[in-house]
Amino acid sequence: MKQAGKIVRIVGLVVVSVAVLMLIILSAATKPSSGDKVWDSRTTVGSLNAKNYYVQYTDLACPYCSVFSRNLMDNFEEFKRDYIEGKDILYEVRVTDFLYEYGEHKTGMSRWGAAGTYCATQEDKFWEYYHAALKSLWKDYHSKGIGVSKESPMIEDMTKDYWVKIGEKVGFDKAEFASCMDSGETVEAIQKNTAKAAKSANGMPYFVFNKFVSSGFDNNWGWDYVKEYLDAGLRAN
Amino acid sequence: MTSGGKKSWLDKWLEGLGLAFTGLKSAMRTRRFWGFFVLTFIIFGTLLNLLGGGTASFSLLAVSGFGGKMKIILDAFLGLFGIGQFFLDWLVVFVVTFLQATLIGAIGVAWKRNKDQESLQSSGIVAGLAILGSGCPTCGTALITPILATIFSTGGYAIAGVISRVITLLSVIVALFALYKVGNGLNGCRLNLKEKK
Repeated sequence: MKQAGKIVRIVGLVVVSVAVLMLIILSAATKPSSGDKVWDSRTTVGSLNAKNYYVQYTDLACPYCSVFSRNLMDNFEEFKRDYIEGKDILYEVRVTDFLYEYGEHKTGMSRWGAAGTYCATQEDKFWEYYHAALKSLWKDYHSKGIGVSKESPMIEDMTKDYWVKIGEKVGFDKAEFASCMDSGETVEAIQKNTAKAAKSANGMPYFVFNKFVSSGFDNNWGWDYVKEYLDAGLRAN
Repeated sequence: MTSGGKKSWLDKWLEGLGLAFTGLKSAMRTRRFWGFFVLTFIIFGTLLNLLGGGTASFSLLAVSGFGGKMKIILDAFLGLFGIGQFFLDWLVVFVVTFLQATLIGAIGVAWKRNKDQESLQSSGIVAGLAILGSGCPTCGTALITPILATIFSTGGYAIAGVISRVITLLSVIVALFALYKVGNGLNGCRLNLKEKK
């Protein structure tokens, strides 16, 4: 009798564990597409009237977001040819400061990255700044194994100036760009966007590719997996 | 270190450790142990690697074709041997998987000998903790995050990183403790079997 009770307890434990795991996976992975509309056409690539609409929520302080975005950047010509033009996709990148607002540490990196991107977008230089930022992060940290995953050493020496310098590289005036990053209007706009993103996103990166919705990306994945995501969106339409 | 003929807790613990090693060594000589070990190592390790990017793998698995599904699972399996993995990420997954596989292997042998159910519960706890510690807490995609977010609202994101690391560490501690216990149990069984002979 005692033996049977123990077995029932074990079976119960297993059933509850599986149920909790399934709930987590379902809640994290299958949020419905909310019929998103373009937030800012300057952060898109593709026709605004495209048949397929893809949205990527990201945060420049999130290493897993960088892996996805860097793969996309490194294969941008193929991406544009085979997907944007070939499959008629409108692709929008929404940069947030999700990790600053909700993250473990109030790291400035997330806010500064979002601020720099916002200021560049106002001058219609989103893609130039975004790609320059990804390249800088790779060169200075990620290629050295810093800030690439939860087990790796963290980025400790990040300053606002790092993001201003990226602005300079893209062609902005240093003082003006720094002033834009600090302005109340910039901070307000970022906070508003991040709050909107957090209504659906559980974490970063977050993808709404047509009806395919997914959160997260493995930092060991490459361009082949980015294509899996892009194809998944096409299949889910 | 003894006082008044009584053994200190350290002596007892070290003695127990020696006995646990002997018990585990005896279990490792059985085919049953290696059967359970290999099966657990492959299944559990692949699962942990699949969860490395939060729920991303499962989202992809749900919509990929057969070839795509096989590629995702194969890559997760190969990740167990460090292929395409960052060293530190791989090391954590490998250690937890190795301990869990050893534990299940030992329990497989102990189960046959004395139906040790408490250890089986421990292995469930180790697996649960290791899985909950998966994903990227920094990005808010760790499996623990939705639970914490439900309890603490958005404040849950802020503590997910710490909790995720703590529960991964806990899974290692629980596994070591369970191995100590199972090893001792196995050693007892080994002596009983000798006496019967």
